[in-house]
Amino acid sequence: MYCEVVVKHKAVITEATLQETLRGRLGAEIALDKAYRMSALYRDHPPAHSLDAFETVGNCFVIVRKVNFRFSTYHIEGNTEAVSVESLLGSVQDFAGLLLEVLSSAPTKPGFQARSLAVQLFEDTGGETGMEGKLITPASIFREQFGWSSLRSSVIAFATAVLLIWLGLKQEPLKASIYSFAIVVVFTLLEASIGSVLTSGKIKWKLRQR
Amino acid sequence: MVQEDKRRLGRTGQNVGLHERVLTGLAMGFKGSVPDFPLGPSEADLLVHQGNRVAVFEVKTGDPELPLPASTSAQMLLLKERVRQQFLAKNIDDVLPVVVTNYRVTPDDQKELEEQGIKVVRIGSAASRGYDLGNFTREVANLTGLQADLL
Repeated sequence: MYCEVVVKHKAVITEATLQETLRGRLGAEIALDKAYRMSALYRDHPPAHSLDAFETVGNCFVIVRKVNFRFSTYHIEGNTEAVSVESLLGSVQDFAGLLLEVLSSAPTKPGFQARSLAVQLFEDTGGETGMEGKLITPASIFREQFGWSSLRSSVIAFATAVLLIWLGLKQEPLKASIYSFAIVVVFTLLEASIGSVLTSGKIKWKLRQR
Repeated sequence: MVQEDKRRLGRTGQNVGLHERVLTGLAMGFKGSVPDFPLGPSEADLLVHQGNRVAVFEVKTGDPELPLPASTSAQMLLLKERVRQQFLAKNIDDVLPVVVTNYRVTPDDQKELEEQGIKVVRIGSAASRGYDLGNFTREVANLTGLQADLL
């Protein structure tokens, strides 16, 4: 298994300046030929061109694969087959943290800063595993927090209050409780019906945490 | 196989993801199609065997803002090699690796892949929304030289 990390930079970057920025700051360098030989996929089909390679934490190595306008791509793989997927993902997390730090501290090159970062896990044969990750940003936290699962209870409380005021049931606690419960049931049924239509036939997967 | 694909596409309708829609469309559009063809430890998304030619397809779909995975060329060369080994006794002249993708493909990426004999077919954003099977199959046929099976 290996991962590809794709960084979107704030501005267009070049290979030469990226090499200059990263060199010696992310780990002990290794020759590209050696890195290709260590890779399950690249061993027999080495790419025509890569920028650099170096060791990283968790018995993994990194190949700086390419630069495309605003994007730079990094290949991360275990030094041996004994490196588990969990260890690999942990190494990717550590590498991403270090990479973002190095890119943001390039004082003469403000455009190097990462705007976003995405990771994909691949099989040794190059096939996608379907597992992918994205950098957590304030915007992504906001989107998540502003989602229905977070707002649900507030919306139900608001709808209940509006209905009770509209019906003038403030002084009748029994009726008010029944109406409040009825609103929760209606919302749950509505949510279940919409959910069952949207997720028909789909399996809900979960990634186990370390 | 094609009838089965048609049933599958009809049954799942609009809920089918882009990857499966493209794959099913290609399988329906070309004679000699074998989806999910096993090739040793991996499998090809689709194999099209026409006469003495074999095309091996890999459909890569994901965030269209991101570039095509950098390992795509190595993966395609590996698939090509495995197809050649598997069809060793069947008098195959040509194995054509084809990547069908909605990822961002720069002219440099395209050139690099084509220099290695790998064809690249882009799934445009319009095709991602309302996938036109006939036009797309014709486009793939023109690019690869495969014979389309359209009415």
